[in-house]
Amino acid sequence: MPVQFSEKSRARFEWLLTRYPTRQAALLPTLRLAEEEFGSIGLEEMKYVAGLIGVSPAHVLGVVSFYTHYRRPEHGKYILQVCSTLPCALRGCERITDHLKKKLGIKVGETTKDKRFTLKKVECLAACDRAPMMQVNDQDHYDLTPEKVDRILDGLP
Amino acid sequence: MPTIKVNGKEYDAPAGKNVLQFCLDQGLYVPHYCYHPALTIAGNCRMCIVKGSGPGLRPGLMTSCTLPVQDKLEVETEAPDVQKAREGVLEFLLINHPLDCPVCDQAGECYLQDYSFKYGRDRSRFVEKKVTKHTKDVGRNIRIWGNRCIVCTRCVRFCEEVAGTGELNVVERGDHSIIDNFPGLPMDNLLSGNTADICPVGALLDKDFLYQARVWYMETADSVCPTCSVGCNLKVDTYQGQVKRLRPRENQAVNQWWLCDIGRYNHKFTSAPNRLGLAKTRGVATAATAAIAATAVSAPALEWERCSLDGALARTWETLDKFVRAEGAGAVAGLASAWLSNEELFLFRKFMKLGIGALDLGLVAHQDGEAHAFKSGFKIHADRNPNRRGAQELLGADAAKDGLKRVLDGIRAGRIKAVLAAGGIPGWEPDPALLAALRKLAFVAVLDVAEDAPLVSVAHVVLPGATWVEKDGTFTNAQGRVQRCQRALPPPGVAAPESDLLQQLLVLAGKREKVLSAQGVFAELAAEVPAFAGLSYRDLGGQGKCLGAAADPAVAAR
Repeated sequence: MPVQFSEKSRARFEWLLTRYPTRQAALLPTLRLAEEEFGSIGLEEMKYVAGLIGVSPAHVLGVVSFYTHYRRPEHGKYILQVCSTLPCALRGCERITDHLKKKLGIKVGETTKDKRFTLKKVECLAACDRAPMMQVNDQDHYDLTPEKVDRILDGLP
Repeated sequence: MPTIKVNGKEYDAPAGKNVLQFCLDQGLYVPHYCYHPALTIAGNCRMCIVKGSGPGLRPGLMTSCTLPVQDKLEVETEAPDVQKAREGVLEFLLINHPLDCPVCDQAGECYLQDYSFKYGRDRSRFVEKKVTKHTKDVGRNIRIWGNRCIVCTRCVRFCEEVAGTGELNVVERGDHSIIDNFPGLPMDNLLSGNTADICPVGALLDKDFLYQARVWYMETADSVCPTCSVGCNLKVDTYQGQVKRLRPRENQAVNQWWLCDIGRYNHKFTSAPNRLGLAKTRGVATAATAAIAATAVSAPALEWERCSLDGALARTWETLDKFVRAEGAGAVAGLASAWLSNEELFLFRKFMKLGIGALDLGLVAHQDGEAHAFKSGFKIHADRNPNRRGAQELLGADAAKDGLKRVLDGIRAGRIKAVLAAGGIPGWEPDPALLAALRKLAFVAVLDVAEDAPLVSVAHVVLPGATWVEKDGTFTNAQGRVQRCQRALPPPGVAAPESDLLQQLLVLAGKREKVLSAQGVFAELAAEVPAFAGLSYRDLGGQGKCLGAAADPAVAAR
């Protein structure tokens, strides 16, 4: 089936266009919309969005690969994004990343064989006051310790 | 007009122009990678940094490409802190750069090398592990060595803004940033070769030129592309007697900075194994008498004999002369190609009219190909011949239009018995009817460049000619601009420029005393053909001049 927005998403996209000075400026929220509609952003989805916005597929690839936030088809069910910027680094995010690597048996950037977890090391997620922190999909978790990380992962459905 | 000071010297400068381009226009040296006059300004390489101060400007180091000219602006391009900053920029650019200059094709024409020599540190302080990136084909003709890339995005902007195809972009980010195409959509636009030209480092390389020659061993001649009637200006780079690559040469009135891939790679025929290096003849003695006896033996049935060039020229003249004497001047016709230079077309007509007295001249040419136009306005014409316009002026508009048909009719009617044809069209697929007609003739003499050229297959005498890189001459492009090609190589064997061969025929006919250089022939042409009046090689210079320039100031300004 060809990749295509539902009527609802299409309407949402048209509305998005009214919020930005140029079509190209609406690329980021349109990708978010595509992510919601299609579950993840793969090559076909990028081509589709490129056509909607009127830029080349290579341009969309550049944008999608620049940001760490977009879900790609190869990602697991849960994307663990561990912040590694200064406050989190000072508060021991390295310990959290090492713990996750050991626990999941994967390196940063990899996905577990059961496609449950993808581990990412990312830049600031705007919760410096409660460092170290990580995001599990869209959910923030603060003041992390290895024990707390275990509890969070074990509590996931 | 604003007055600005560059390194203490005052200049009048156009407001709003970027300082980098202004400095370059003045011949001042400012190093830069990402800036290119044809592309939007990215300001990402930081190499064109200068020290600036002026009204409303916070004094300090700034990139000159993003600094507009304004009144009372003062910049210093080589102040000690500017040099120090450039050293720092280079140190960062070289963090992940490999030291593979000995095997890199860009070496010798690499901005990284040149600026490192001028501004760089003599050693790296970087002790961490280098980031490595992909080496892969990003298009039909272009391969990227990611490790060498400094992510200036010239290639990205070129594809977006000039070609209008946008196949390349920067993917990933930070020190993992790398140029890539979208999977399954490689850069296959017809201008792709230019990305290797404008790549300031050895990241994008032309696969056709890969490991062919160290650039400092090559010799370069200024020339013009023969592959279509646009007539893009180019440089011919040769090494050890072979064309190694063609590169565009800037001419804002013709091709801006660019060259299309169709023209860029159309030079292999110059060194192909099928090049004609010797003269040869077959059955000429019988052909001469056949004219009178009317028992012509068609050429393909005869065996080739090797012959000296002088001998072949003499036989050509004597045989054509015999036909004229026996059958009248109308029995001999001429076919000239749109791949001949202006000088050669002029001489061809002169020989046919003065030497022979022939009535019919025709033009042979490549059939039209596909025309292309690009976002920047760059065009590839459907007319895949360099000099159709010149032929119209020099053979006569009528000959260029209907001459070929008249020659064909004359052959079919039995009136035309002999033909002198100057071809030299690489990869030509002529109308089979033309070859069939020529094959029946009692005598065909041919000037051509390839053993297996269609005209050679029907010839009794073959005079080996030169390709456009092997001779001096001019082409007239579709807009009427007369542009020079300069000889980059000697022709193979005894082959000679057609202008020499045709002049020797004129000498044999008693219509000329000696063989002149192409420049001399052009002077003669300019004196005799009104459209070319007032033009000379000195006048044409490197950028050419339009026909009628001497008479019309508006044309001269083009």
